[in-house]
Amino acid sequence: MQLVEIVGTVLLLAAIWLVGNRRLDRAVVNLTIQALLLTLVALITAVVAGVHHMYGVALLLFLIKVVAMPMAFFWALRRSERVLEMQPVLSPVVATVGAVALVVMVYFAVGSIRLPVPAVMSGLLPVSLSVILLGILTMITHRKALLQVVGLMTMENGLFMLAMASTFGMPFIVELGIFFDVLVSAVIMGGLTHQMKVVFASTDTDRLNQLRG
Amino acid sequence: MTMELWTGALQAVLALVAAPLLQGWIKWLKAQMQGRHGPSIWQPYRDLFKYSRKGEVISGHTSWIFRAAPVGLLTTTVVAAMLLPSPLVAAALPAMSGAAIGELLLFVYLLAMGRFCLALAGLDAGSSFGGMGSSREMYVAALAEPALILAALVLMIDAGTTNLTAIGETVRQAGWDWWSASHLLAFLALAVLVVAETGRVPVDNPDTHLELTMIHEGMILEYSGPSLALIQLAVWMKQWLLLNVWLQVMVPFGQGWMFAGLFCLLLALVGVGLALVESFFAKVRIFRVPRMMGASLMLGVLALLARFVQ
Amino acid sequence: MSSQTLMMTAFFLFLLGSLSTLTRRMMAIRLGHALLMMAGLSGFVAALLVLWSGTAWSLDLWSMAPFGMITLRMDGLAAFFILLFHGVAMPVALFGSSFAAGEAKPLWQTALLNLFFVAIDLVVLADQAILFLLAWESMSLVSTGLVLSRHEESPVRHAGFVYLAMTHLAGGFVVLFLLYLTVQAGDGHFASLAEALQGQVPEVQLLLLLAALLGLGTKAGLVPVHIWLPRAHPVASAHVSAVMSGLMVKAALYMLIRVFFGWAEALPMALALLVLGVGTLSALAGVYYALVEKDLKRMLAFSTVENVGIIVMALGAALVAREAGLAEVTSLALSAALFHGLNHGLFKSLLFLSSGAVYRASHEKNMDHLGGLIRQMPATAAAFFIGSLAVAGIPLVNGFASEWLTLQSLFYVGAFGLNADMGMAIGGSVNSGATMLGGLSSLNWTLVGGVLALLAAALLGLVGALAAACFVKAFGTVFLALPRSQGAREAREVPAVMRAAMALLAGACVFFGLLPSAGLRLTLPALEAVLGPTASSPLVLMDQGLGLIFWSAPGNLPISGGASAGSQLMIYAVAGLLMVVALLVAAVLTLLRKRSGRAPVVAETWNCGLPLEPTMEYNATSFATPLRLALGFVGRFAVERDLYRPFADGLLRLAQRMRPLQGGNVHIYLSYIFATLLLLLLFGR
Repeated sequence: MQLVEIVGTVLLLAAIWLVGNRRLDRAVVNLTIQALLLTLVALITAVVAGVHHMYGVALLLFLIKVVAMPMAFFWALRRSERVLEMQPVLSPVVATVGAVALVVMVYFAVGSIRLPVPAVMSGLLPVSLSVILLGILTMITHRKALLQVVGLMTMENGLFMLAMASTFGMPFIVELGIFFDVLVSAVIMGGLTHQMKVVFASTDTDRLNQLRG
Repeated sequence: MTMELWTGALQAVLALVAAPLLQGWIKWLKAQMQGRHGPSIWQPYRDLFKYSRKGEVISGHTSWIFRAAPVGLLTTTVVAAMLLPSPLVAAALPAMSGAAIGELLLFVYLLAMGRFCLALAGLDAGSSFGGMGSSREMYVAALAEPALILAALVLMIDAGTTNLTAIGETVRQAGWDWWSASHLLAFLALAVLVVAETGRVPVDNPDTHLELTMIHEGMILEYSGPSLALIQLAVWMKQWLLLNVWLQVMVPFGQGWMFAGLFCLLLALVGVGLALVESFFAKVRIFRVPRMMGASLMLGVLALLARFVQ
Repeated sequence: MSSQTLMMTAFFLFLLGSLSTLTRRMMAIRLGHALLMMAGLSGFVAALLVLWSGTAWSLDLWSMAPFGMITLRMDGLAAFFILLFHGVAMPVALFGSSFAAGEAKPLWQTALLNLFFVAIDLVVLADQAILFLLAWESMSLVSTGLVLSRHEESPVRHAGFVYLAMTHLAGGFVVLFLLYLTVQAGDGHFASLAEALQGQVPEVQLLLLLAALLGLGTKAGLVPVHIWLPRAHPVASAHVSAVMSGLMVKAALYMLIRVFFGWAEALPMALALLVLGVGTLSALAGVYYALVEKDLKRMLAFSTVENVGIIVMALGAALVAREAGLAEVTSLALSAALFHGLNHGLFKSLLFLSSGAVYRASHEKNMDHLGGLIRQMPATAAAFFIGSLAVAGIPLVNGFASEWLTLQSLFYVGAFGLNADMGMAIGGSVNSGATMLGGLSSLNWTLVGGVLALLAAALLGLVGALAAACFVKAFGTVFLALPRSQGAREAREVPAVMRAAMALLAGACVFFGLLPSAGLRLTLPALEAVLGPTASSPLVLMDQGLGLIFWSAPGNLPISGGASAGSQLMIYAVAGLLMVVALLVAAVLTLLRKRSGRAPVVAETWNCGLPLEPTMEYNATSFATPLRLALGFVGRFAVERDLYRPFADGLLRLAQRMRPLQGGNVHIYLSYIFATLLLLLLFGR
């Protein structure tokens, strides 16, 4: 189970990198890496815990999050963005330092949180919580609509990891439902991005406040 | 004590002999990756031989510091090699394992001693290149130090000592269980530092003599002939030693010729990694180096935290 | 002769030396310094006797009504510091006998220097609150007099003013601390004060200890109450700066050790961590300011702030270790602190003396205007070189051994904290339904202490590397390359007496570098004096033959890997190895040169074909620029502007408000007195 923790930690590093990232295409690459790591977590859980339907989950994860979604994102990028450089709210250095500070806080706070996590997975708890919070942080510190989606996906990755860690795989049907939700939200967000581009000629979410009545 | 001395001597000789080969290997790989024919793997040996046969030009503005520095640098490096347990020696000759002094902090401070000598020598001739090189060398070293100490100490927690021989033993006993999240982060932190400390892209460019970009080459610009040979040899040895430490805390080497082979293989692979980095990354601006070192320090802090919840 | 007699002889000689200057002859300078040196030797032997025999002595002077008997006492801790003070006094006196004549008001300085040693000795020997306070205040006043010896210059007056203001602030806190305890205890004897302190409720105890930390810390030069130090130390004459930087801050550290280790038996972990944090902050800020400084003596003064920081870090590690119940590590860390105090006393005086020699020879203080002195002043250069190696923590010179021990003790505190009570972090510290803040307050402090100790160790690494950069800069720009000014070009080596003084100190630095176990042996009686006889009985520092230090890991450290070797540092062996290898390498180099058949050609430094001009060289400012830019965030917070200025402004505004009270009318003043009396009658019953 140490292996799961290691993979989770790499995922955490990816999420920290995402917060300080300044390029749209790299954000998508980052998300793909995260998904790949998540797939790995699922696979390891399947092998170690011997939960067979986790193989199916891993396959689905791979197909949807590693193959389909990045393709969709790149398609959206090609359609809507010319400049791949972003202007985040915070400078990358400040954002990264903030991200690490956040992780530090999570690690210290995690002692006081009781979650039904099996003892072998306890190391994964602060990792997943950090990833979830880093997802939110990404959404806060970036203006582009695409990054909002990427942040959301990162949160979802963290949640999924936590779920796998605490239950060794939920009932298959629940997981299917989650996948469906994710897929739908990705599609909606993609459409929203495109629509924003059409309306405002930009995907800067700050422009959305022009929609106020 | 005698055993320690013999082991130390063997380790030092090994480092002296093998370090140029490692350098040649990396350079050759780099040339291949960049589509050049490149010098042969044995070129560093030929360079050393060539330098040692040449006459020497010494600046009249210099003092005894300049003349003593190459000796000081190579001496500290050789003694550092004697202290540092070599996985190769330990794997190949089990009788010799565990007989190195192996005090990690002393190792770090010995390298600092060599650096101190060389930085002073860089200032001694009075040229701006030398001064610039010294200033930047101390700059990179100072920024790398906290991250280095932190990552190293995190790896040492389990052994409860800063003795590298004991760490080697701890790693061996733990086997691949050694690879926990905390240790992984520490390995990554050390990887960044190894790149910085060996003076490679993206921190320094070992191949350049362009005054605005050089760090290490700037310091030794005034050296020629046998003195230059000593300095080059010391620098390659330092690279060899750092990679040795890095592999040693990372991989549970057992004893026997198989593990000696594994060590050589891994070292060659690390060479491939370094050549890849050198080929695909540009040198960063000198004022961006703190970010790299900061990232390494952050990795160290995270490693500490991961250890904290374990 | 007994130690007691020798010590009294030393006092007598100091006073005699001070009085001798009343003859107002220039001869008296020599005489005063000669007496200082003899007194130094006498006290040195006295301290050595106590350290050797391990028996403390005390001497009752006279009885004073509310405070009880006034007593002098020399125990192991006091003897250790007396040894340092008097050991440094001898070379300083030797140096001063030649150097002082060229300084402003030499007679005045000689007299005060002698008196200063009386005061600082009494600070350490006092076993009674009122005598301590008297000695403490006289030490402050005498040193102010020394600082002000060139009071015609306005910056000197300003420095003196800041010093006086800060030192009084510090004195106030120390008075508060000691007199409160005296009132509680009923008499001022230190043993009663210790009991009184232990008898207080935890909150009061905490407040008292904070007052002591603030008061003593100011005198020791801890950040952020260090601002007087870099002003006051450099403006004094070099040999006086050596004494102030090398010794006076140690007097404060002495009392800090006595109070925090000898008197307080247990303190909250948070306070221990505060000490560790303050030490780290001082070390970092001190080394940063030293790095960007170009005035040679000011740089040395900032480096004192750094080294005091390192000592306090070791003290913090010792406190944390004591709270975590690690007796051996406590001894180790405290020993490291004392040893670093000794080492710093030696190398900092050496550096100040050689900076004085540089100033005497070149009349330049700015490093950017110096250069190339190694050719004209080889002996001074060698002395400064050894001092630089020591302060940069380079092996074989004394700074390394104590820095290594400090790192080791921090590491052991960390390793213990993280290895102990596995699972406590997750399971043990949980109180049901705790909020995050609740979780923080119920944190496992041993664990947190361990994490912070490891971070402090990393920062100590940074401090060491920055100190190395700083002294590469100092030595490189002062002694190497081409001279950058007329003064530097015309510099000549200083007289033999001064060189001998520097050689003595340099020799001591090398001695303790090669035989650190000798220095650690000296700290053992001091450890016993403050931690009790059992503290050092495990004798974690084992002396194996010639200078071999072997430190075994404490037995109660849970070691998972099964390795129990502990850390060894055989500095003697390493020194031998270095020498043998250096000889080999040098032989190879000579052989190669000989074989090439050509003697080295002496030529100009390559400068792209142009003649080399001193203005083209890297100087101190340019050398430090990259690090100044990278660590700019340290410098952006200016302590004086952001911390002291608002405070002083507020005080001035308050004073402005109070002005109407002073009407100048006698009747008003009388009515004030009347009102005061009335109030006293009402409330003071």
